[in-house]
Amino acid sequence: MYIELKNINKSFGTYKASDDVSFALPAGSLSAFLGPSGSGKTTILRILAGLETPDSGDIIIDGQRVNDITPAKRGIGFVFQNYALFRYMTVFDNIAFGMKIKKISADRIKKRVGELTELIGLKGLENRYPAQLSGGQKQRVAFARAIAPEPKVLLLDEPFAAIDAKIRKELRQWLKDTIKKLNITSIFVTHDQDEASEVADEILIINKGRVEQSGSPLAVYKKPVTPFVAQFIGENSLINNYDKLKGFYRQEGFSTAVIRPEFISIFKENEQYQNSYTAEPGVVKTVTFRGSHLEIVVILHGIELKAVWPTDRELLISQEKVGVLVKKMYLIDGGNIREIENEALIADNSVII
Amino acid sequence: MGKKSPVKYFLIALSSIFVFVMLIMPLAVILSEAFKNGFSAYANVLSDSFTLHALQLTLFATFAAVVCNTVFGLFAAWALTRFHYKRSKILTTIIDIPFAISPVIAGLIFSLTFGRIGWAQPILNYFHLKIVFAVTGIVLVTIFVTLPFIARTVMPVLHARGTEEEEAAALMGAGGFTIFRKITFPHIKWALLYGIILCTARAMGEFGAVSVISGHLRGKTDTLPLLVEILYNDFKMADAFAVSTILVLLALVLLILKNIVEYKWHSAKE
Repeated sequence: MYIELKNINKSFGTYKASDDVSFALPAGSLSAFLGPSGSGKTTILRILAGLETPDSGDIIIDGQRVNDITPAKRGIGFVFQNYALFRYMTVFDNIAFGMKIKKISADRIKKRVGELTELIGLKGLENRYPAQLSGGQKQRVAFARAIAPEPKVLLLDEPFAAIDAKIRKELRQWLKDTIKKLNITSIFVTHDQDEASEVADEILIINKGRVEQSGSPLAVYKKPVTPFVAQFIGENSLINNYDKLKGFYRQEGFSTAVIRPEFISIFKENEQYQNSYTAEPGVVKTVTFRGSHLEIVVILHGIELKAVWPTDRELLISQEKVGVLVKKMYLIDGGNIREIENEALIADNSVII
Repeated sequence: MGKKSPVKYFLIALSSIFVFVMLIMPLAVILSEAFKNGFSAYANVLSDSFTLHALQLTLFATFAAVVCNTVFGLFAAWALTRFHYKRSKILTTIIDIPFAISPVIAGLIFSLTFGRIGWAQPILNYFHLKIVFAVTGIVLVTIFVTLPFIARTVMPVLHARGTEEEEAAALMGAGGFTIFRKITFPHIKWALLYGIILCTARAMGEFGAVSVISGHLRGKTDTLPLLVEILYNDFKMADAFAVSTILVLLALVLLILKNIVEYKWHSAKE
């Protein structure tokens, strides 16, 4: 493993920003710290970079414990959330800064800056100042500046947060491709799960200073291992009286259920469908157009559930009566999670077999 | 609001009258009184050795105070905005004390601390240092009364800017001095210059504290403001006003510099 954190703890006064954080990431991987704001993801990144000192624990990069090594000697490139470009220096001087500090010869600096401005697609803008660049351009200059001294590790703090939605999508893909091409071990921080699953090979879900779960985007989505992850990932409905739904019974100790939109099937009233007698009658409350699909809220036994409906089918309208089938749900309590299937559905299937 | 509102004209007129009565008129009086006995009399007063000495002393004390406070102000502003510790608020408040204390009291504090009956007297005697009734004292009290200016003008700029650019530079291996020179200084230079000008203006005009500690030794420890007072008390009105014109001139120069710096600072922000 290339980057390893072992039992890292960090408090700011009474606030515990990192709580026994441990993880290991392989060389060349592109990982995401995903969590709500204030969850402590940036703190972990800053500890890794050496901008914060942990109260206890080990930071290991490439087999070497770097706790006592100064930030500059850790071989880390860092892209700050607001880019932190040197505002009184041109694009050229910004990118060249790290290399000048390293006393690299002027010719080589010039060549490297040339390569990098080519790479970020800003050739010809070397003499601009940061204030004369757009958000996306600034972001790419910050990226070029961070990788210019050829760091072993690249850390990016909310790299897309300050960029408008359209450019953000392009930039995500560009960043992913570029990092893969350079084969540099990278970690970025985000609160946006789409961003994390689109860009990262591996996601670490951070909550209250702890790593709740880590794994591939698909694994984290399919198999949440803690109540927090089950709630945080996906557009979920959180309900308490889950035993009112047909096919589910109250389970000892589990007070809350998390239901993902894709766990719910919705049928039009006149529609013929399998498992018809397990579906229950519900009413559409709201329909929201989301581009590729409709986001539906249906009411079933007084419970509001979020579901999706494809736009290529006959559209649903508000107050329409529909059949609703909940296929499965995650039950959660304080620290435990259990995935349960609709019992009626299991029985139904077994009859068919 | 309507363009021809009477309130607008009323307020403009009120401000103009106020400025005229409070500033323009006294200024005109200074000039007319100074030249009352003709230009050659005026020139005589200005070329008088006491006047020249007072001017020299004023400039020296001002220069010393500005240098000290620039160094102190930069260090203090850096420390208070870059390091967060429990009692940094207390330090910020202490820096403001000279704004709150009457300069006369400041002069008294120094006289009582370093004077003949002061507790620091034995130490000063041992090193053959003289503070009260000496140039050292004048410099010290001038430093005291102008202490907050530079720290206070630089701090908000450093605070608003955040630490990320400095962190970015440090991560790339830049040392403290390089970071200050290349990253921090270009950002604070206008604020710093503005603070220096305010500090200079205040230092040159300082009267109360200097008056207490100087002992009014003519040709030795009198600054321009003190000389004006001495001449005035001797009923040499024309001389007093003539010396005042030096201070007026210096003030005007500073005022123009201040406006230039303000203008540059604002265009640098955009």
